[in-house]
Amino acid sequence: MPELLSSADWQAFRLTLALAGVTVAGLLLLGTPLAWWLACSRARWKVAVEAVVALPLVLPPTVLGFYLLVALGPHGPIGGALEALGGAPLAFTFAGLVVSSMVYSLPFVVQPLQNAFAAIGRAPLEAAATQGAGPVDRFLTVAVPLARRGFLTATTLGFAHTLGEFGVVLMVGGNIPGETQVVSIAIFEHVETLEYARAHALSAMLLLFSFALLLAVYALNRRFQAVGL
Amino acid sequence: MSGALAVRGLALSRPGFRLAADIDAPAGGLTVVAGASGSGKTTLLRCLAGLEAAEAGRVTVGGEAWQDGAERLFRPPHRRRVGYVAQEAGLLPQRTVRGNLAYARRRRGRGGTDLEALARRLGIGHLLGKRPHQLSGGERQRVAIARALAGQPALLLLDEPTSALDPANAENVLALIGELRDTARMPVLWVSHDLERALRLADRLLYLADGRVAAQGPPQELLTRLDLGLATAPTAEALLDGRVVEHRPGEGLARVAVDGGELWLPEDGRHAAGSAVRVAVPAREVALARSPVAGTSLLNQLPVRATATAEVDGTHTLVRLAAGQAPLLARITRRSAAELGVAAGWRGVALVKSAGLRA
Repeated sequence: MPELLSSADWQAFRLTLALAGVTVAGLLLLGTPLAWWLACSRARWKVAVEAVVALPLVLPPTVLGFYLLVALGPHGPIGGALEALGGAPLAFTFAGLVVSSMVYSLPFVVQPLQNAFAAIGRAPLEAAATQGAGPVDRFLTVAVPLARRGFLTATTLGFAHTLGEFGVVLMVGGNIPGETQVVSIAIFEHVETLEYARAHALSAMLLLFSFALLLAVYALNRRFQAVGL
Repeated sequence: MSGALAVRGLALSRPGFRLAADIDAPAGGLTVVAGASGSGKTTLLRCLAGLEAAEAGRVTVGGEAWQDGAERLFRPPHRRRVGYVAQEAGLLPQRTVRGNLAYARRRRGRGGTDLEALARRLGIGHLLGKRPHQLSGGERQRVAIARALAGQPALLLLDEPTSALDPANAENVLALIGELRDTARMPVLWVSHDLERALRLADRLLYLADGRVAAQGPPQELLTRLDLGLATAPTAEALLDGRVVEHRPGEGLARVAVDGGELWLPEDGRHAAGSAVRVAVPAREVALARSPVAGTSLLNQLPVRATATAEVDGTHTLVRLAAGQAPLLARITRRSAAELGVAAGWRGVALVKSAGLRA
């Protein structure tokens, strides 16, 4: 095995995990209030927001990646603004990958959360309100615990989907070892250079890891169901 | 009045529906909210809880304003000391019964409700360690009522708490509401799908029609008002409050003293001698005669005076009677009414079959 996975491969693997972890954390932070709003709001333009959230599901990663590259680059609105503030543009950086992955995996986190929040129904929330629980209190003590399966699904899907990301990373991050080279890109490079054994080793590792992750989640979900949650 | 609910000019508009309500409900009284489906019963309760934002009007409980359209005051539900029990219990599934009660007490309970004592009083003491999914529907609703009380509400709202329950479970919850009527110190408003059962317990009746309060007051009065839909319905009945005088177990009968006389009615052993009972007297079980009748199977003959009459469905006359001070209804044919000359001021005897009475 050591000869099959070079230190660069391990680096790519660690980077991939870090990217998926940071992306999911960021998405849970931003996606939870968004999903809660989508589940509760009766605003007419809510459907437009829902459509935007779902866009990454249907767009080719190259389209998404292209616009992200333009936006994050030195002449784009985000990259340009950062540069003006004395920072560096985000294209071809780890931070840029995180931002891109968050966009790319947004529906995989927001949609399960939105469905889970909507499934709670108004009875438990209204009951809590009439017991003196304010909006934040209700959200934390009623909505979040009742939507825990949604959080589990959202975290897993967001994480797994980011692990498997390729097109967007290629467009926005390029292939810089230790900075933006993730496993899927490393595999692609091994194949390009006809290093099939190394490509095989990395692929098998990602395959097993993803399977183990999903298996654990489905098993956990079943247990929740069994105890009536 | 301290603790009373007062609603003035409460107004809410929804497509195809308008609610307009003025209500007074005393503290410590059970007010049953009745009306056809779609008349706004649930909407009214939701407005009082603050779950619907009425556009105008003033709501005060014990003199404390919960909302006032004129002053742009609107307290959201969590700022109202309200207890609200809906059709669905809405218990938190991840918490035990004790946890659910504690949730309400922590947010509302001023001075701290003794949860153990409350649970024992409501017959759920043995359930404190269980989770909601381990309870029956009736137990869940009892817990929901206990939870509403754990917050020591100034107003208790019960919105069809028994409608999703099977008869045995519903009976259980009805018994609890009966106990509440005698012990609660706050106004209690109860929307029930089973009006007949609810009226057996009601101190007051609030009758809604098309989103308006058509009438409110003692149920004995409203049930016999000829201008309301309650009296003209084929199932109309009057309520007589009385006291059990004696039991005749051998005959399966009980003698009950009511205003203006005595009634014999079927006895199922639920009411001890000396206890107060409320007897439902269906309008179609009451016949009229000019004078007492001899040689009849009818056990009950009450001297009455007609106070008003109304024609219903072409063939019948509805007569509002006074037995002593207590109002009573008789639904007789137009022909009989004409032959007896029944009109306001007419005096005679109401003949009531014992088999038609329920306590």
